[in-house]
Amino acid sequence: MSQVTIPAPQVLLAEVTHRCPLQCPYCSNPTELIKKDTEISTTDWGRVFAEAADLGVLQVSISGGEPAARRDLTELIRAARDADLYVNLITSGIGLTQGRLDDLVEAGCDHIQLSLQDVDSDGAKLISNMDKSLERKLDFARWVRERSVPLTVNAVMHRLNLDRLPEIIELALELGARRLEVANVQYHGWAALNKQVLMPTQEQSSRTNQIVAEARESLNGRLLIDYVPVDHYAEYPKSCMNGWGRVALIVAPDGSVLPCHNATTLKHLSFPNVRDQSLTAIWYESSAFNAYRGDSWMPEICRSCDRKEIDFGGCRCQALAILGDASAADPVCSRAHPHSLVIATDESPQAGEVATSEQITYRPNS
Amino acid sequence: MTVDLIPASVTPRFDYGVRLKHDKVRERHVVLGPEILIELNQTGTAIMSEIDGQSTITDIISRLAARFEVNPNDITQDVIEFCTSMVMRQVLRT
Repeated sequence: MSQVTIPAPQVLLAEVTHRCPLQCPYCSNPTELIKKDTEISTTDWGRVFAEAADLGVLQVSISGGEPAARRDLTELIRAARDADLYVNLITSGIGLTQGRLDDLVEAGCDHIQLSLQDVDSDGAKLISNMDKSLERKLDFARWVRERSVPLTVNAVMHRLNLDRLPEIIELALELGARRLEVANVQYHGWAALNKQVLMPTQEQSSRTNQIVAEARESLNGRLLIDYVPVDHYAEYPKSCMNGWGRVALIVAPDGSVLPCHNATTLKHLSFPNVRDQSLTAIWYESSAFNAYRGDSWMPEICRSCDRKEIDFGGCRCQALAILGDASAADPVCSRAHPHSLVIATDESPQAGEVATSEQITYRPNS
Repeated sequence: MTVDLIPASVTPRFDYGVRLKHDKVRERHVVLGPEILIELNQTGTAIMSEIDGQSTITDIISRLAARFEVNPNDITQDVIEFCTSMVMRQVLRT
């Protein structure tokens, strides 16, 4: 095999806690949530941020769970800025008062990304399993704009809210967001458990592509739209994490370091911890981070494919979950798998299906 | 998508939450902002280093021309196109 050149990472996702006031059934946290008593300390995070900056990381996204569930969030933001990182806060907006927001801004929070479940109050409650979650988010968005902190709205899309995408785009504009992420659910972890309820129809998926294209044209210069299409209806795999161990690393609440959110489902790998090793050693030398770099792990059909530098082989967790082999070609890939493997006919969603909370497997708050 | 170039008379400044940073690990300059991470080449770095919220694009062109000993007319189009692309990406505002 050719020698793999390992680029320095640019992005750190700091999952500071898995605790969250909301219970969204597509949460990107693993189904085995990390408990509060194993979370690493303020000092540990300070060291992680400093090591990350030395390693080449330029941006940190402080995320969760809900990061505001940590009482030391202000100190964490300050530590990240002290390390000269650009600080994104990814929040549900629930649990932050105006006073606390002032502290976060003063500590150096550069940008806030607010998640939005729906533009409809009942729809938002059905997903978040919390009363008035939408109303509280709208208040929070206003507070952010009043402080001149740039706001991105992250709208997670699925069968139950995709038909309201035009209204969600309108709401993002009203809230003063300069960016909107239209992110379709990725069907791993919790979302895989709720695939029957959340998976959009093929028709919804195509219409969304069109709505996004039209909105990008008409709102050019006012609102930038980042778009994550429905992976399962794509012809080719997504470039998962921009390639395993290429651009980003995730530090989980307990200090374990992962190449992607769901990597802990890959039970054959053991993930190093910042309590035991430096981030530099973990990034360059650990067997977990080296497992799917380069192309020597790939099946022949991927290794000889001209798209291997575009999608880097796609998603390993999905290959394991659907094909039982983490080294197999991504199940989405139409070149490797001419017949769709990701949506079996017996679970094809029907248009207009409604869901009730009884059909949903919510993630717990902690 | 058609793009209208911004006029040279405007005064560009960094958009909210955007800053220029020297990336010591890779020995280059980068622009950091909300979901923004742009690696700059030497030309981009030279232009972005002149953004001070006071100078018009015309001012910036004259300073760059003097610094690199070129005719301002030879770089006008490039600087305007670069600044326009940065405005489109919400790196600069006018």
